[in-house]
Amino acid sequence: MSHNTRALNDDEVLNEMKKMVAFINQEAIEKAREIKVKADEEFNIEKAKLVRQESNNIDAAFQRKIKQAEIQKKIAQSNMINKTRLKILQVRQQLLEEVFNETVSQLYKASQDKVKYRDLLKNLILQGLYQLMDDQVKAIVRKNDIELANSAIEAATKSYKETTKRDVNVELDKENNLPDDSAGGVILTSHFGRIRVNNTLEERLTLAQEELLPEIRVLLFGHSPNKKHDH
Amino acid sequence: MTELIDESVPDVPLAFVSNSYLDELTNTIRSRPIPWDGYKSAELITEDELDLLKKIDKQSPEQLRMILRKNEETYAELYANLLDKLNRVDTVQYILVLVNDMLSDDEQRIKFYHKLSEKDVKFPYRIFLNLLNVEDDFVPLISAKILTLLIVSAPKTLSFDLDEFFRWITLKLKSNNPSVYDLAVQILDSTLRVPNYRTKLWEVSQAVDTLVNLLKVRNPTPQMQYQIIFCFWLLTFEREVSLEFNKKYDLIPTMIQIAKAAIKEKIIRVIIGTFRNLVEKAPEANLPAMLVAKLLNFCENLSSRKWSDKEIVEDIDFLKEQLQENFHSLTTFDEYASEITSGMLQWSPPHESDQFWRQNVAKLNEKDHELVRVLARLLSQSNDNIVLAIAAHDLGQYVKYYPNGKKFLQEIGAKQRIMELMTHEDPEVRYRALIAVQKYMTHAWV
Repeated sequence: MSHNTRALNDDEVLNEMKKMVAFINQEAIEKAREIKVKADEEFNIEKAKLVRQESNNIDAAFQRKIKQAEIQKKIAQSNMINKTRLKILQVRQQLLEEVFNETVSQLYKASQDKVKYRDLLKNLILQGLYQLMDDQVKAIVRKNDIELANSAIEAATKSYKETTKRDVNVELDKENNLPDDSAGGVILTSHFGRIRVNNTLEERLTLAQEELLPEIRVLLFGHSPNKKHDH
Repeated sequence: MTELIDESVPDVPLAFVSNSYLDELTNTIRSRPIPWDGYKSAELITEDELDLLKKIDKQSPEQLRMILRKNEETYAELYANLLDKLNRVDTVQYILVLVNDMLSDDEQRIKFYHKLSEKDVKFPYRIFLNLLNVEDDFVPLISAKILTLLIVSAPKTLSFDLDEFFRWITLKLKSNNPSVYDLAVQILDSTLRVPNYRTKLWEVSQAVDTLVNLLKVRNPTPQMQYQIIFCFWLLTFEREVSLEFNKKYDLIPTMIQIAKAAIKEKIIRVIIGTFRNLVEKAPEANLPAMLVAKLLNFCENLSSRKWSDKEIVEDIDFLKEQLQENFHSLTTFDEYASEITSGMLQWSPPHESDQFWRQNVAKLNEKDHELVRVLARLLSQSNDNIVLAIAAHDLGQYVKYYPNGKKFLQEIGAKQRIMELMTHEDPEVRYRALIAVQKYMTHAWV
């Protein structure tokens, strides 16, 4: 500020104004700069917060997706395992059935060798006699087997008498026969047909199937990896 | 959002470094033209370079602006190349003025200097860094100014270690020429606007040490005070700095002093701003010291004044709120105990907090009434009126919240001593002693 007592001339006024303008400008820039600094800081903090938030969201979503995918995978795996297990069981069952069916069709050949068949008949009858332990027995056979059956009955009766020292009378049942398409064998009855021993070949096969099923399984499929086998 | 920007209002400059000392030097050099033809003959510059230089010679500012606008990249390259190969001081000075003028006219042009890094690894920083060491009054200063703009506008991480620049700045801060250290502080004011550079400077400890020294010891002008504290304000945005700031330099009391004596509003503005940062970024490290330095009182005082600036009011309110909230919780017994045993009693938060006494009175009885004995001893032996007043007050609080302590005080002669102090020459001591006796006499909690 001038201490002159006279008024300022134009140049001096201009000068003073320039100084004032410069001063105001400086103050304004300083304040504006402070505002900018604060704004920049707020921006950085907010940005960092948003970035962190979104990163966490993305991470969480990703984790969820991974978990879901894992669950799906497990379900699919489990389903696949079950499916294949079932399939294996089905195929095995089929194979077993095929084996048995094949055997049934072979059964008819059993009665072709007359000598062997007669022997078989004799043993079947004898077993039935042991089971019945009766003195009056009837035998039901195929019509075609009547001749062989008589011979077999004679032999069986003889063996029975020797072993048990008991007497028995075996008669062919004239009213009943095994159907012609049966594979053979004999049904023995006593007490007026009230007690029966079914020794038809079909019956014997069925019994054999049941008994031998485990062994057949092992032969076809090997030991089950989970089951304990004590052979 | 861009539609809201008023094009007629200039944006805040990225770098703001100038004073009359530098301006005068610049003007003088600008008026001393260089005989470029001679350089061409001596094959120091090429024909093309000479042409470019002649084009801008003796042009008015408007004409100059038009020419540059069409050839910004070319001229940036020209100036950089000339600075790289020419050595005569007066020539270098002149070219630096050309660069300075080009950037003063439009700060955005700095990007053309950054682009030069594709042509040569020396460009743009190394050119100017080397000029910092030239033996001349003008060249290092103007180079530093340009370097500042380069640094704060850097598009990617710097290709050199900022330490180099900071060490040069520290040297200039120690200069005896006020104009020189003024520029140095201004450079820091601009540089520290970039957050990454703040921690870098803080770790180059010499620089901040020198700044603190400048503020505390060398009696700076108000404008210089503002500029230095502006640096502190920027630094304290980083938590690392806010944690150590007061512990290292004990600046909280200093700044309160400066604020109390300040005439210019902007000084108080940056001081309060700095305090706000200290509280926001590292409250646990700073609130206790602030309370001890009685900042809360000062803030209340400031609140009662009328301010035209909205931000300062917000900052003051924030500080007040934080200080008040923490006044109650900052009364840890350990701090109290260490204050008592040190004998340097002050009116720190615990003394006047009822909650503190209620919670902690029993602890004064620990170790055979250790702290009570200390207080009693201070009461008998101290010559400091403040210590006497506080000790009397504390013993009063002791019996108020622990009536059974009355007998003990009598045994050690403290009761007697307090009654004696009721006739002490100092009014504060008398007052405190009187109140203490009053507490001694009553049976109920008041």
